[in-house]
Amino acid sequence: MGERSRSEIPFLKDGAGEPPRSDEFELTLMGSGYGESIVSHIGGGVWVVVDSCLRADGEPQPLSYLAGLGVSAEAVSLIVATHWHDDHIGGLSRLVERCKQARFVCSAALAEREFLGIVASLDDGSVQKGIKSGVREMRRVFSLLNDRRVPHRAMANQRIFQAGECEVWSLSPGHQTFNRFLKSLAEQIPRVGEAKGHVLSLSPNEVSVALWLRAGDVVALLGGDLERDGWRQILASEARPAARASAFKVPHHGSQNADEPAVWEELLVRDPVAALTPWNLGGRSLPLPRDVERIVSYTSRAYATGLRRAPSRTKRPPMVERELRQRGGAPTRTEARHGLVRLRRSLKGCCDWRVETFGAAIRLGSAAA
Amino acid sequence: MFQSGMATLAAQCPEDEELQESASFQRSVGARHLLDDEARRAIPEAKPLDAETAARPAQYVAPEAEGSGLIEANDETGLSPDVRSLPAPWMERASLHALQEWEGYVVAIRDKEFQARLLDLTAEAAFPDEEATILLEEISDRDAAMMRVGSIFRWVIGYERSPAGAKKRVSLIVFRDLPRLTEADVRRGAEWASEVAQRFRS
Repeated sequence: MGERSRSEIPFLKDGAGEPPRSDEFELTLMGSGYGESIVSHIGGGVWVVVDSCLRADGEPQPLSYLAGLGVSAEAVSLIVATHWHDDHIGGLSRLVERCKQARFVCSAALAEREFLGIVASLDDGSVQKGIKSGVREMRRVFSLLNDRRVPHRAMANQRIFQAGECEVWSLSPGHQTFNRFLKSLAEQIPRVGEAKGHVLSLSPNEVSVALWLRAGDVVALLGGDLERDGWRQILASEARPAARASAFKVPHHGSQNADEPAVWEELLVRDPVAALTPWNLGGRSLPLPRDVERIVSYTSRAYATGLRRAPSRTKRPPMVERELRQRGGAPTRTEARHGLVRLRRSLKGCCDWRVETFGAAIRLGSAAA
Repeated sequence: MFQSGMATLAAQCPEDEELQESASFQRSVGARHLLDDEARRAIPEAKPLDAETAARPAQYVAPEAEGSGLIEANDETGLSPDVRSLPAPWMERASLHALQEWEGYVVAIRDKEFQARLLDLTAEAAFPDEEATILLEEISDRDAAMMRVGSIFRWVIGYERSPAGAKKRVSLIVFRDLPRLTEADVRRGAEWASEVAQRFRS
């Protein structure tokens, strides 16, 4: 990696494709409507990638971004899969494969034998040759991890990575949530004779990993898709890191059920920089307009990698269009245009975050939102 | 009458690909072959017999037909070497020419329709980024009964050509008969799970 030119990222203007300085913290959120990934530089050339999503050409977006900066995949030291929803693990196995030096971490819930057994029994080589499922992606990730690349499980209040002045902590899942999830697995075990199919949801958001990153004097909080109950457990914990974050990846695409006002009061500094990715599936989308209103009431510096636009349609041959009209209408493409929100600041904490938006990314609360 | 009408219409609508295809097809095989049910009833016209052949017992002389074979003259039957066996239509299969193909999976089921996420196979899309609402009446009763969230299907839109040469627009949604979980799957899954779970460290 690193051999691709910076001009290959079309929305990065000339000069914007420069990597951060060694003493600079970077947090870059990318997403286009069904997919989310975070690439972070925590100083000293150490990179962390949280979740993965795909570009239109099938390339994992975080790898493409790093290549555009001239950063080698070998510089990635940590990969975290917050949970196993399709929109967070697109291309994850390729990411793990190419980032050979990276430690892999996922929620402890997903490392449980019972859960893995369910996943493995639902996967079949003859299924889903076209549509790639999270099940297949997960199996491939684990097949890449062996004795030389030991995977790690994340639970609440665990330091999962440290390099010099940089550290990464997992704040969830808590033990209460974890135990509840294990009990629920019994109901999810597929029965012999049941048809295999595309598995939409492999793990609930409640076992999603929320991360606390610190480099020097700078702290960032990454919310994954953790919902309200998970946040309340974090707030109630006395063992979590105390320093407040000045940058926040808003959980679960800004949804109401992931909102807990106390997070903004107790885990974040006043008026932090906040960013989120949109989500669209099955006619539903996040964030809703009322979610945007709520978020901008918490901070004046909120951004999104894009918001849902009016659905677009691919133009197809006239005969196909006629047939589609007769049968209920043509398929619609639901993604917003792709965008990045990039935050950078000095590790010394003397300056504030410098926010850059690329592509379809917007500032929430502005006229464009 | 129909032929001249089709040709006139096609001349007036040069951008209509379906019409152009219809007109072209019609010109190549004659007016009797139409792009609708009527085509199925079309029978190739017989050539008129010469005087000598006509004096023989009645025979059917067919024009050149795809798949037809030439029967050698049989002295006992007196069949003319021009008699050709017609291909039995039910022994030949219709061919499907796909113009658009998706693979999809069901994300929601409602009373009269279901919502699906689609992967455009024709465009070789990297991931499913289209959604559609499809009426339940578009699928077979069997598929509707078996369908659940996560079920996978293929959707093809194109032309079906019958053995007689007629073309018909088709839209086919077929749910995949997915493998069913066996005890061996469960056992293999458990073995893999144990092996992977052991590798994890806190």
